[in-house]
Amino acid sequence: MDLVELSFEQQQVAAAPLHPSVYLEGPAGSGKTTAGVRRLRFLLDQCVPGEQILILVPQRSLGLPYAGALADPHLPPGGLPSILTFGGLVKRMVALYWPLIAEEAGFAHPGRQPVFLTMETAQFYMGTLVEPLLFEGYFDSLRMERNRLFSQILDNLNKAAVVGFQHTELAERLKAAWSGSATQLRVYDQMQDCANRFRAYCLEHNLLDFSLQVEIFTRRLAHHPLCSAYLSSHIRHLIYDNVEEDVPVAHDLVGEWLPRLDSALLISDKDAGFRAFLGADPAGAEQLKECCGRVFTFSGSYVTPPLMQRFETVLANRLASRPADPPEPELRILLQVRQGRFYPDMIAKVCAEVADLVRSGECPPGEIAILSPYLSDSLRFAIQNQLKSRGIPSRSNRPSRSLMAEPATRSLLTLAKLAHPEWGYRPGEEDLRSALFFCIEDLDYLRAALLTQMRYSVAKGNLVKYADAPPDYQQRIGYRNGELFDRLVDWITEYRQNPAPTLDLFLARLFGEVLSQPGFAFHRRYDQAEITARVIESVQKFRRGWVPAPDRPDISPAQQYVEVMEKGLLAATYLPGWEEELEDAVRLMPAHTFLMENRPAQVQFWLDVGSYGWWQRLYQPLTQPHVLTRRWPHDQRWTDVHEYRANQEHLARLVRGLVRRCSGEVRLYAVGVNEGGSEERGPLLLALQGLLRQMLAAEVQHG
Amino acid sequence: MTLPPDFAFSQSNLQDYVACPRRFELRCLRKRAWPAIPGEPVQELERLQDLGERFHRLVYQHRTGIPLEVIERQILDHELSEWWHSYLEYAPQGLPTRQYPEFTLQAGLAGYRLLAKFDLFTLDPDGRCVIVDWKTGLHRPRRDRLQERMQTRLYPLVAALAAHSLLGREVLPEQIEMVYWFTSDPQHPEVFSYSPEQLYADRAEISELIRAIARLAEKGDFPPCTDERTCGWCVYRSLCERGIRAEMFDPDGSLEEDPGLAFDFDEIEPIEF
Repeated sequence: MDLVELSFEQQQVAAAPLHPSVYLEGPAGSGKTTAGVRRLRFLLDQCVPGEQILILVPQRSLGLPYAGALADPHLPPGGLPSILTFGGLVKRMVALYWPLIAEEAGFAHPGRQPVFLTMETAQFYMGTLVEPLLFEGYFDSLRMERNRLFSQILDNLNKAAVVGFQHTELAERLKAAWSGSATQLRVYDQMQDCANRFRAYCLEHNLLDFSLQVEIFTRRLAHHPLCSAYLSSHIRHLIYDNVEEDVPVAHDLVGEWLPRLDSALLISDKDAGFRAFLGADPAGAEQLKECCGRVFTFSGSYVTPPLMQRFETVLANRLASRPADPPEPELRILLQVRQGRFYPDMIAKVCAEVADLVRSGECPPGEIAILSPYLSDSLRFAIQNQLKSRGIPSRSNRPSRSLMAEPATRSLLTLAKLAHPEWGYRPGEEDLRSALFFCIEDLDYLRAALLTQMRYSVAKGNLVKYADAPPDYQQRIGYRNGELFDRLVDWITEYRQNPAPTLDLFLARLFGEVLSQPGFAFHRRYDQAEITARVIESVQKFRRGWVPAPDRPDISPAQQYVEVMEKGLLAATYLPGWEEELEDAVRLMPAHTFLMENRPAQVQFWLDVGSYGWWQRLYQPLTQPHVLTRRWPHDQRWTDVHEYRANQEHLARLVRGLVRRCSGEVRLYAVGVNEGGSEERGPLLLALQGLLRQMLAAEVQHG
Repeated sequence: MTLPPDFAFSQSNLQDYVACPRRFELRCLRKRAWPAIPGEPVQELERLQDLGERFHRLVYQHRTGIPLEVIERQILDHELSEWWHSYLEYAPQGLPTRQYPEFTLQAGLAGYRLLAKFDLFTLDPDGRCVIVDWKTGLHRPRRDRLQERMQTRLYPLVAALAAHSLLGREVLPEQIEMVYWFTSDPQHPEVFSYSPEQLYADRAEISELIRAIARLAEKGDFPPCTDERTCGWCVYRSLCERGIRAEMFDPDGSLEEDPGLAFDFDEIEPIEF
């Protein structure tokens, strides 16, 4: 292995002896992961069997540098190391050892196969259990979307599992920390009741949500002699990157492994812990440090230039209210906040600057990141549209994008309703008009409206053929459009005679036999094919784990899928694979997503720095990420002081994380009136303005 | 476009290329989803796919050391139960002692990686190596058809190139054997012995295939297959404008007799259409 291009410290880590275990810490950009990747290559070059190496990362995107190294065709031949998240390891083990633990874990049908729930299917089952309770008055003091309500109950179950306490203690812990109005205590009790019901339902129907998988693994499997022996023989070498972003039970497991491993390298990012809201426990990473025989500390940055490093320091000091000298004048350019009156002004300015950067050759699109605390559909749409019109590619890894927001999905479900009159859901005129407009390639909206008006009866739920229409009407629609419409009508009519037994089959047939044929809008359209594939996958997952609701025994999984999609209960869809994304495209994403992608950018645009979103956590009345941890004392109340401190720390951490992943400059933008129509002057904006004032005052003072 | 340097060749993507270069491009290189139906009756295909996956899982559990009586608690399906009992009675015996179920080996060839994911890879300390593949298709394919499969060429080749990493000593081609075991014909596994000559031939042929693929990728021109009869079982048929509906697969297995219409359950994309 060629270690020449590594620093001396990186070489020391990469080529360290197998014993003792190594703990490597340092700020983002200091070359830790590079050293970790070289360590992997070093092990393989030392003839360590690849199949005995586990690369553990808290999130899939963080494993990409290692996956890249393993794709090298010059790698020594042999077995392949595994790159896994803790969740991935858990799922594999539970699937493998299911027959060993199904009965003792309390599943009602241990002989049947388990059904692993996705976030969306878990939300669906939670919905079926909680919705009837809402009519009984549960959570009546809260005003929030149902999806968010269900996901917070699931989030609590997950927290209990990854922190390592019984899920039945959730309300007790939350109540003990609550210091506000007494009505909230009832909300916590209701949340607990829902969580308990959900767990019982899962056990009754062999459903495994993430929390149940983790509990089964940590409480039953990890110490079972067979599973333990399997893990011991298969994992002899460990590289654990971004330890600080992982959950306490993952730390526990690694702590138990360390004494028996042949080698271990643990890598921790200082001042991070961005996934704390998902249960990440940086303090647990510090405890693992104590178990390692050798500690390396990297400093400096291979990414951030000195001026940016000073920008990070002054801003972090300001946010922490630490006394510091006024910022030096060179920082003025970085501290300047560009102002726009409304959101569209800001978006136009940002897109124009991005275009200038790209056209001048100063910065390729892939080195530009546009970041905001949250990324609404409208913001994403507006920016992507403007960039597209300027010929600049962009990508958006927003964590949850609704499948139903895609016109292709809505069209597919409208046609599904039309093809299945037995369901009793007749599409409205507007839905059909949109579907026809979308599906027939050259059909404009007016003709789609005309076709709907003349050839569709909502009352009967029937389409009538274009060929049977009066000649003048046919002329208005156009022969080609009419022919395509009739092919769709014929196909649906024939299908109704012999309907597919499942919705996914219907969709696959509709796609293959009609919509992807010449003249239809999915023909040679890979983007629409991708969306259709995801809808089909979503339907299949739903169908395979489906349990009929006791109050609606006659409803089919297909009907129920359509219902819950339209109610927005299956809103969350799957992310595209990170590695499949366009490489050289402007990244448009929430700041946290950017941090977890862990790929620096030359120029970062921070949008709406006046927004409180940069500072405060989401409104989550059913949960409390700071309380449901191992670090929060059981008898202590969470007060406004704690909240303020946590928000300040969060912002300082966020700012540090972003700046440390910036190799050029940060451009700051504020708006007078935000997306919601109000004026915001959040702590990030105030800190920036405070620094600028301090600098100007110092300049005045020094003449 | 060029073939990405990190592209890995497997038996499945090489088989795609041999069957239809265009399909290789769409499925393996560009990773284009095209969610049409591969063949009819698709429900039966899905059922068999599911059964095959469950059988593989049972065997994996068995080879991992989970007690038989525990494994058998989850066999509620009659067909699966038959397969399982056939496996217990007739699975290849006298296998080498070191056993690696569901195991992946990689090796470099012609500047790219080769990946082989074995159902069961077995090795003796003296270098004897037996690769076992569980075939759960409805019918046992003919030997000459199996011989032509990329799997039969690639797996022993990767074993010859990479198995030494598990032993710390060379594994000679003549020590390698590939065994196909069939749920549809459990008493008659098909055995392919390997040899230095075969290794030489396979290495040359697969290297040439890789170079040909790299050339086509450079030109950006992967032609569709010449035999359009196979398009009836390909999800991309509408993209290539080669048909509307999926063809029926032949439950009696007569397709197996037609060299142009091979139907192999292992080649069906699992439940993704």
